[in-house]
Amino acid sequence: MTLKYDVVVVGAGPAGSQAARWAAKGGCSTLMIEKRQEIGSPVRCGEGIARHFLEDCEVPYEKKWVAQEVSGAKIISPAGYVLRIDEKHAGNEVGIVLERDAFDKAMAKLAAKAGAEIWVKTTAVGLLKDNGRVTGVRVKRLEEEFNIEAGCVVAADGFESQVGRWAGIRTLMKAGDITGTLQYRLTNIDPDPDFPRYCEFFLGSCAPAGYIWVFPKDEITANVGIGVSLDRLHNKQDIKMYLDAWCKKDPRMKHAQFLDMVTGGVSTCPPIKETVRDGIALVGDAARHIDPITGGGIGNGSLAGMILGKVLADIKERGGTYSKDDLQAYEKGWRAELEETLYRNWMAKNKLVTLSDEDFDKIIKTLSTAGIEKLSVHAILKVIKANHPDLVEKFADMI
Amino acid sequence: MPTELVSLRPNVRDNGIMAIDDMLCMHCGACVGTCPTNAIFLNEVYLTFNEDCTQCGMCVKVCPVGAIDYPHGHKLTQLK
Repeated sequence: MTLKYDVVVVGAGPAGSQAARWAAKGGCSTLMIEKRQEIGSPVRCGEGIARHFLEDCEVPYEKKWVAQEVSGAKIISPAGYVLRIDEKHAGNEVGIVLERDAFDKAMAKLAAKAGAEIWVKTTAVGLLKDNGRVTGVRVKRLEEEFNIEAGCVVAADGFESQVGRWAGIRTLMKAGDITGTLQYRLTNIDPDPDFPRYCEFFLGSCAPAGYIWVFPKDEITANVGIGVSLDRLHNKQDIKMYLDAWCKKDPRMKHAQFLDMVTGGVSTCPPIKETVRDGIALVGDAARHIDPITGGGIGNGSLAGMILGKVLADIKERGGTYSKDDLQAYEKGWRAELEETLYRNWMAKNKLVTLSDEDFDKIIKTLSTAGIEKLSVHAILKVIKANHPDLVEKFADMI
Repeated sequence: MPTELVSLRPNVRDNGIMAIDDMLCMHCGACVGTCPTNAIFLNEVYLTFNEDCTQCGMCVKVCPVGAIDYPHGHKLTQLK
């Protein structure tokens, strides 16, 4: 038995589903494989996404994957200064808190409706290569192990991506560009006048070189999570210690109980050098498309997936071979949309991680008085530049 | 009189390279993506280390729940 597809997507997250959806829609015979038995579960995500990404990626709004629509964001400094960004300005970074398991399934449904085949409980165990060119993937599906030939293999296999490494693409990161994360979904949270209308971000030494987030899921429930940069972690379980210490201090969490616990790794690195080779393309977390400041990746990954899917469809229509040259259109396409922001935010992150608690107090205090026109990393940096130019001088020309 | 413990399930798997607490591990892959030598193998229910491991300890620190430790006898081990 020889199976053959134009496109084989490894990993059925939002990025993989988007790539499969647009490739299939454009006429590619497409197969998407997922190693887990259920798409979208277990959830490994803080679940915040900006509304505009859904429109950009043509994902029709469905109530079933929306846990909570927030009307803004609050950024809280170590001493308790609050920068509140309200509805009409906040759409850029966070707008919807998802039910991520339902969202991933909805994205996979869009791929299926476009004509993609989907298999679950199917793990990629190796890449097929011919003369340096990727020609397919070896998979284990239930009890069977076999080869699938592919014009193009799409590596959408997440933070722990193996497929890209097998192809020889360098996706390694330094310790300072890796963030370990832990999240509790807590319920029975005590009332607070602003809860659950805001996504909250706590900065400073409560989460060294990272932040703590509180994303509301309903009136009494929230995703409470922490990200800490690996180069600030010294011992086993340091991450958990930081989050537990914060939860103990926040009065709202006094009676809170666990609904679930999520862990994961997040890349906060600059854009990688190459994401395509002959017969293979990387997308989403596997291509390090995550925003280095916010750690958000659903939107970027979905967008890059859509760009890739459209390029694959275009190559098919032209009768191309999915060579590295053919796939340059994707490389150029995602870089045009994301690269500048990713790079700028990585530079800014490297500066932000050097700030003290007093610096954060100063900045948040300034911002809350000066006001900013929208919640975007760029807008925030612009105000910092205007008020505390010393803090951003190394990359002031990029702002 | 102390209560008798009637059943004890082994939970730490130590292959001499690194040790994993299977009851703590969330199989999230944070260590896999972090590993600089790609020495960690993970499927949904099983994590293990191979001989490419240099015992650099990045996985020990990045693991959000502390499920990875150095093996018995290693100077940094916290295993009892």
